[in-house]
Amino acid sequence: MKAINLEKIKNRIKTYFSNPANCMLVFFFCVFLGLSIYPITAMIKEMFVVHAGIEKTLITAKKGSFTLYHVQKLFIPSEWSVTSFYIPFKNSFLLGLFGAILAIIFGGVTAWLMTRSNLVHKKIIGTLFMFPYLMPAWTLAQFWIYLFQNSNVMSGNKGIMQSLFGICMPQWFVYGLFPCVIVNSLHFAPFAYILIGGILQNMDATLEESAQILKANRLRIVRKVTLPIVMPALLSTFLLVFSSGFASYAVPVFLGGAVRFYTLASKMKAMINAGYMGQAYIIAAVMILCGIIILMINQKYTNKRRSFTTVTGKSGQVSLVNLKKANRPISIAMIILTVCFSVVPLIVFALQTIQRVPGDYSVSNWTLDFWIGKDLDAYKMGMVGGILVGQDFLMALLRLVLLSLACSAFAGTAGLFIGYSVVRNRRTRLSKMVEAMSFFPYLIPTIAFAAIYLALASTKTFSFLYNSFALLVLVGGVKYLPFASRGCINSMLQVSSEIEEAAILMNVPWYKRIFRILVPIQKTSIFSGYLLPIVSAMREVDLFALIVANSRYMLTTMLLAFNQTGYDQYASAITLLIIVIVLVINQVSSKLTGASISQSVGSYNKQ
Amino acid sequence: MKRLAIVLACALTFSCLAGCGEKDTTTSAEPAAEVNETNAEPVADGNEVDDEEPTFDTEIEKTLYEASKMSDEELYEKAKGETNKTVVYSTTSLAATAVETFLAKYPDLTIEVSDIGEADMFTKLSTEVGSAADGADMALLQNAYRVNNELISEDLLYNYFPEALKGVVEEGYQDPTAILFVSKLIFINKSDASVEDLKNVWELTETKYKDKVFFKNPADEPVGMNFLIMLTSDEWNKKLSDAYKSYFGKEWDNSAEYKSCAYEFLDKFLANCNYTYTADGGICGGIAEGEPGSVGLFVFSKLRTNEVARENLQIAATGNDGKGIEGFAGFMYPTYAQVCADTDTPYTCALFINYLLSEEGGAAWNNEDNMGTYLANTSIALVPDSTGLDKEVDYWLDRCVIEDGDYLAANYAEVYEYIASRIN
Repeated sequence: MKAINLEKIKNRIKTYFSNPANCMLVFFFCVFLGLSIYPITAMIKEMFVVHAGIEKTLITAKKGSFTLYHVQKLFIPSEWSVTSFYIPFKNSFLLGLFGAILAIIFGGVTAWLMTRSNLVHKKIIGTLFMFPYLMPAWTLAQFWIYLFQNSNVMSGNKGIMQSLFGICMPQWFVYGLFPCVIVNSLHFAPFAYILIGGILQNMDATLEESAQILKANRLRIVRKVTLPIVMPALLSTFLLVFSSGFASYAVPVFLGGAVRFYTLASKMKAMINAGYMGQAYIIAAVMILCGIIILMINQKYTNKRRSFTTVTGKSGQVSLVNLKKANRPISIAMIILTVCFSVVPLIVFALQTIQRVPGDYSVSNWTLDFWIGKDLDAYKMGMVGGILVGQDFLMALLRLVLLSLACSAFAGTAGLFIGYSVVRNRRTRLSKMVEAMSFFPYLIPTIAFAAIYLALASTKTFSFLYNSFALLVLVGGVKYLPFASRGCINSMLQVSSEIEEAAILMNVPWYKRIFRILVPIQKTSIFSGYLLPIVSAMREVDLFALIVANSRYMLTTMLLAFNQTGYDQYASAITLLIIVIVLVINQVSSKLTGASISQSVGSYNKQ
Repeated sequence: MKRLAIVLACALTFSCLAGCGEKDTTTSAEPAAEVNETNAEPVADGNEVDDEEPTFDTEIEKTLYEASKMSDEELYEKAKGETNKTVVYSTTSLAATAVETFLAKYPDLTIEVSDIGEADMFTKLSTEVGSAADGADMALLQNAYRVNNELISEDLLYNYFPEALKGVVEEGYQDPTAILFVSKLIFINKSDASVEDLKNVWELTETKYKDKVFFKNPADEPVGMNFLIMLTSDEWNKKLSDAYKSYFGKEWDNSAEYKSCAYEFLDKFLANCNYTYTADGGICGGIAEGEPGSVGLFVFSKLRTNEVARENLQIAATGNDGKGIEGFAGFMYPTYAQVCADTDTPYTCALFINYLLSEEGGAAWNNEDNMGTYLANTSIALVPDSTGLDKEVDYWLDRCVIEDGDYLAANYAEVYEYIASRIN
């Protein structure tokens, strides 16, 4: 009897693993378990031990011994906890909340105009509207300062608005919560535009037409028909943008530092600088916890929406609202607005790179030395002239491009297999777990993520990775895996299992089914899954700064070094180059394969 | 008498290091090294001296101790036997120039430098030293507090200082070995002739300077935090009290709400600080182009490349008809050279530190294209920079607050929290 049972179990296991999708699922479950459990246990440990330095002095205990000091210090109400945790938490929350609301307003209105109206010049507006998302958020923050700083606030330096039009904006407009909210919302508005636009485009137009026939006015139709339909997408967008704004670091550093506006992420970095490692890790854990809660709420609502969309179906006809006389003014206003936050920042960065003395816009102060000069003062960075003639720079550029491609290959390919295995095992518990776990790296704050992997690479087993290019690829690949896996899961969901089943009947091996059937069918959306990791790696600074062997190793870490040493012209030149490279990659891939960032982002909401 | 002095010096050094606020029983490498060096002193009458051979916790410590007594030629011969590459982590990018000239002089050695940011330096060293990772062999780093309390006291870094320079470099900068100092000075925009020179640091606490004192946020720049903490030391508290009396015409009232005069200064000074700029270059350019009367505290070297700054800014130390600003004129912080506890190239590290302390090695910083950086080996004359603005290190040391590792170790935690609550 026992032998029969054992045989039965053995056969079941054999049958289970004869399906490659199951093998992949188990493999990724094990990998994610390691990738999730290691950082979590490492973080939890750091939260409750005494570290060398200031903690050892304060706690008067041996390094490595257990302590609740960090938790008590950070959470028990006191002047310290208020300034170190509660106020930054409030700031992060407000930044996330208002940033998400405004992003939805900007993106949602644009999405409606682009999909549901007869607005003219849609192509140019659509292209330009994506620029702020392709640019690193901190470049927009820098641009905001260049634009609005004035002699009445903080630095007292004139910005473009004051220099050209004599306009001086008040301090709250230039520094603090307000500009952080605006910049974050501008950066994420394209995100909202794509997500909401996707729903509006697929919405059954007959619903609105029926309301129109029943003589409902336009406002009532939007309120009673359109909004309820897009509400789940709005919520989903809101939660994703809120989550990104909540964890925002670079924007508050640029726009908040002057008025002592700290967020959880900037406070965490300050804690690390001072050696308060335990409290820094607790802040990181709080951010992860908030991220998990947001993710759970998001999944709850996206699940609801899925059933809603199924009922509604897809309309073959979309009736466009006639904007009549308002069409051209709205179109011009949209073009001006999008140019202001897409093309003008590029021009401003370009101008920064040709100023001998920063801030002096006069033609007599212009020089190309920072690009092609051969005898400049950048010797401190190991360079001897303009960035285009320095070998260090070209090598750093090459390494950054290679790293971006490698991270993309890693994340994209892993994402493809995850997508395949998750979709083929849809509704199993393991599949749901792998899908949720693949999103985990997105939730870990970048600085903590880098520190944890640095520690991992210093262990005996993984020491071969230390200071290597492979470690950068691993860290980048894992960090950007959520982008790729989400995209691939969604693209695989769109392919009927019958196609593959037919191939199985023909005895086509699994790898051929994936690469000869599934990938060609969904090549555009799969390639889009590869594109987002490239773009993300191209503009990433904090993730790699700790792991690279040398700050001159990559273009982005070089940029950080230039920023820290105050070589503004070089920093602007590198920023400009990164933006241009990202835009070129996006355009080229869009032309060649039809894949673009808008598709990568859009895939988040197509479940 | 000499023996007594040696024993007393030994005891004093040991008690000083033991009293750095560490209550656990972790053994520091430092006291051991001191004892050993003292024991190794040649003494005429050996009867009253401890004849024991120096003892070391690790082979590297022993090697470094032996290396400290060797000549450069002997070290070079030993270093040639070290087949592995020596990796130097450095917060100062000019270390690359020093490495270049070092290799020209010692072509049989392999050494390379990695630029690492200050905050990342501590994370990297505390992670990799003693682990399986193949990282740094030595480091050139700043921030006396964290170097002492996170790395040296944990036996992750060992000190090396050449015996031959013991009478040359000031004792306070031999352990940990300082190779150079960087100065951050107070400047005022004097582009308008009606702006008066700064005469006293207490002026910077007045409401007219609200948001007009530009300074890198000390929460983001540890050497800035160390400077502020150092102000509460007896020495600088006294100078601030004297400046208070001179400025307000009365003694500082010790019955007031503040723990000391320095605490009051910190409270009011920090309330006026403006953290708009995140880099020294930004502060320099910003106040040079900005409003007359704006004040900045940034690295002196930024003036060399900024013509407008040289024209518009006045160094507070040299203003006021040459009398300078009362209180302090800025601050200085050392860059230390330390050897990693798990290095496999100790002789190369020792030779490189010798080189950095020499005129030849120091030339990477001490040259006419640089200013605001001074060699710890003060027997080497300062090479005047092309602007003619710089002065010898002693001039600045008299006027600037300088980090003291022992004071920071004992007081960092308390004063940090006081400051942190005022910069948030």
